[in-house]
Amino acid sequence: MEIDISQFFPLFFEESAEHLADMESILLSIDPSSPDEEELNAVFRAAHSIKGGAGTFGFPDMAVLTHALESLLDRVRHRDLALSAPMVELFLEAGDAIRMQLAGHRDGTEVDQAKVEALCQRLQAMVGPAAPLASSPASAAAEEGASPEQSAPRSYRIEFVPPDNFFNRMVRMEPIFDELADMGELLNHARIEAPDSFEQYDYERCLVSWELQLTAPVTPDEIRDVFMFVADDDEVSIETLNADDAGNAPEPVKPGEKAACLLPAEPPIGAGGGPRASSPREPAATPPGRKCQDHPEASSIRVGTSKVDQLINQMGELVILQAMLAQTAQQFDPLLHQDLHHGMQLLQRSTRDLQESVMSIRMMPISFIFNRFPRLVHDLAAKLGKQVELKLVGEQTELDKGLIEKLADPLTHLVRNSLDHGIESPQQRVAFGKPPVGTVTLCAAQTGGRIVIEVADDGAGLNRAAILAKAAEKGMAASEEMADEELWQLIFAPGFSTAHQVTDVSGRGVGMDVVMRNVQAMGGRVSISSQAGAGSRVLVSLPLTLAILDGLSVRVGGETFIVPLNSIVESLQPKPGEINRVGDHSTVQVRGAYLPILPIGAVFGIAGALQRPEEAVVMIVDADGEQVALLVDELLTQHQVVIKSLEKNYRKVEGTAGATILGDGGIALILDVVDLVQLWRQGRVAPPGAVETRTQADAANGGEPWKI
Amino acid sequence: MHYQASNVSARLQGDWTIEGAVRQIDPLMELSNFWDQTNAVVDIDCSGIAKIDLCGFQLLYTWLHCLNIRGVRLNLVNLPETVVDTQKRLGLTRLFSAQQSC
Repeated sequence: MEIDISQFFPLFFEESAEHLADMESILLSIDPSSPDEEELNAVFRAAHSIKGGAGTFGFPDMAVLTHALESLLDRVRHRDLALSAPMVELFLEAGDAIRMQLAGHRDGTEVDQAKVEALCQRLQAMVGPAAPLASSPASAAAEEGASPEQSAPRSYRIEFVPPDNFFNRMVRMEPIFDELADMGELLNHARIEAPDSFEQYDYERCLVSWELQLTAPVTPDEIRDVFMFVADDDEVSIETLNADDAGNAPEPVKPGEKAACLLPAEPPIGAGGGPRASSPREPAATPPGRKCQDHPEASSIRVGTSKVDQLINQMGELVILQAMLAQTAQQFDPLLHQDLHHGMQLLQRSTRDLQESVMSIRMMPISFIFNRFPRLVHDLAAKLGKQVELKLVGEQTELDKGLIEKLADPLTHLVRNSLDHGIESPQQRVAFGKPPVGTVTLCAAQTGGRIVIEVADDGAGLNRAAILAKAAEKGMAASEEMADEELWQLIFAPGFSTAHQVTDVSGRGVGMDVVMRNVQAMGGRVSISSQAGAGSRVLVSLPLTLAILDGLSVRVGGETFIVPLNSIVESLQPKPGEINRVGDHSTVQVRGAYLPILPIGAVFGIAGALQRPEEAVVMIVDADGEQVALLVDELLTQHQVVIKSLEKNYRKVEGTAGATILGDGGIALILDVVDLVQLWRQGRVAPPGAVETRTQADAANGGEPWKI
Repeated sequence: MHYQASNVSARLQGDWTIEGAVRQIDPLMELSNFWDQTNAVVDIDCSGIAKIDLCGFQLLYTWLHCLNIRGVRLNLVNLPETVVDTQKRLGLTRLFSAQQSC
């Protein structure tokens, strides 16, 4: 059987990255002067798990470094060495180096071996020559200060019954048993449930199980951690033995002999292998694994994102199919075909429920990104000589996984900018009457169908004069009369930076335009507000998901468009007295407010669209806080539409967020109302009545018109 | 050919890991049919085993077990040090102790 062991690497990489993130998160919040014992244990376990996995999967370089790290952590957690701030920094550096090694194995990126070796030496120097590198828990526990739980050796009976397909995992058990033997005294007894006929033998099926007895000053969790990378929780059972049981144990293994078999003699081979101790399918006599027992909600499976994407795509097709069927069903008399219509209603409801469930699979808490910032802020603040407190709000806000991945870079740019340009030095802040510690706040919240992420700081704010000067220097259109909001938009121009000094943190002017481009590529928007001396606030608004939206279909001429439901405020047919013409444009008066009218027919160059608002329908929509009236011929019906990318199949069409397939098989553009408002502001929307004079090539997108 | 068989002895060799185990099965089957209870004790020379893992040990044990049922007693001899070490580390020593003389 040829098995590629590398197929198991992604799981190891992913889990190791999670352990590193956990470790870093704890280290950043730990108080070196009085560290919490459980936190130290958690950091140790993270390092220990990575080491175990690295050994099992054949990454010796990682195992060496994590071993050095683990050894120092072991001495610290047993109070043999006092934790200090430099030690925490060293642990963080070691975490970075392990991450670098991980990336080297995963992505083939370069690993700075000199750095790794230097770190190993520093870690070993801190451990000190008096203590062996792999200070065993047994010896450590005997030292003063060890917790009662760890100081007294306890005996455990460990049963490991791997599943039939265990060989497919391609794991080696030798390092696992070696590690247990290092903890204390280990008795290892394997059983093989051999068939009585060699003709029946299936060499791929694992028939081995183990019963081990371990006497060591460790906790069941520590034992379970050893099996973390090779076994599922329900395959390992750990039972604490009382003194009598332990006393009946066979002679222990000699030190250094590792896991030799010392249990009573096995019956002769001729007696048969006997039944396995227990089957994974049968409930174990002892409680199930720690994770399942203590954290039932943590029970999960890892599935490739491509599979989830495929599921969502198929779900989208199902939604379209359901819409088509619903449209067809409308042709049948509801009275004569009551069952059909009832069935269609049930189908619609089930489709909707299924869709929501499927979409929720892709949703992840934004903490996946937010959690990287404590370290970033910690390092940057130290580098810049500033004191900064990072506040994270709304970390559990969920967002589509695809968006989460793309959001990391823009947010990193924004946070770096806040620290480098926004937050002042402690001396400056004190001189301005501010506390020496600046605050950067990252906040996420769901508002309607969008996620809004705020990056705010209480620093110096944007410098209006500097931006104006820089704009003039670069030949950009800017004047003193420009409102703040307009002026701030200039910083999103490529290459725009007011920094006097280019640093490796920021100042090269490649940040904000990248932020804007990336966010726009996700269907999002960026807005900025700032007050001199008080700070800046950048808002990133993103759609909740990129796959499906609720929309209202409208007719314009012979075409159908979809308006996202969450943008719509109301729709009305205005009376002649409510329409005002200002130059080439019209406004509609709605409860005392004059709203500009955007004729969709003119935007997309659709001949035959109604031009007089009094004869058509105006749909009031909210475009990032600004209300405008879209002029359409007729409201059709509410849809749940699957968004199909135009860029993938054609090209970007301004004023749209994509396209969808309707129930009748036709195609409709999905309007992006904010983009439409921008087109209108830029004067790229022809006034009503001008459509007949325009060719389709002059349509709003500036090139070939979109043909439906 | 992974085996050199005579009336009383055979030599195992090659790869006994999960990757090579499949290639050992047919020769082992052949050897199984080569002996019967008239062969009191058969020495199996293991010096040619280049590498072995849990899958290989399971295969070897099962083969020994099945022959034992048929009354054929096998004696593993000349086990390489690495094989003995792996056997110990996997907790398998006792299972093979009756059939093994290093």
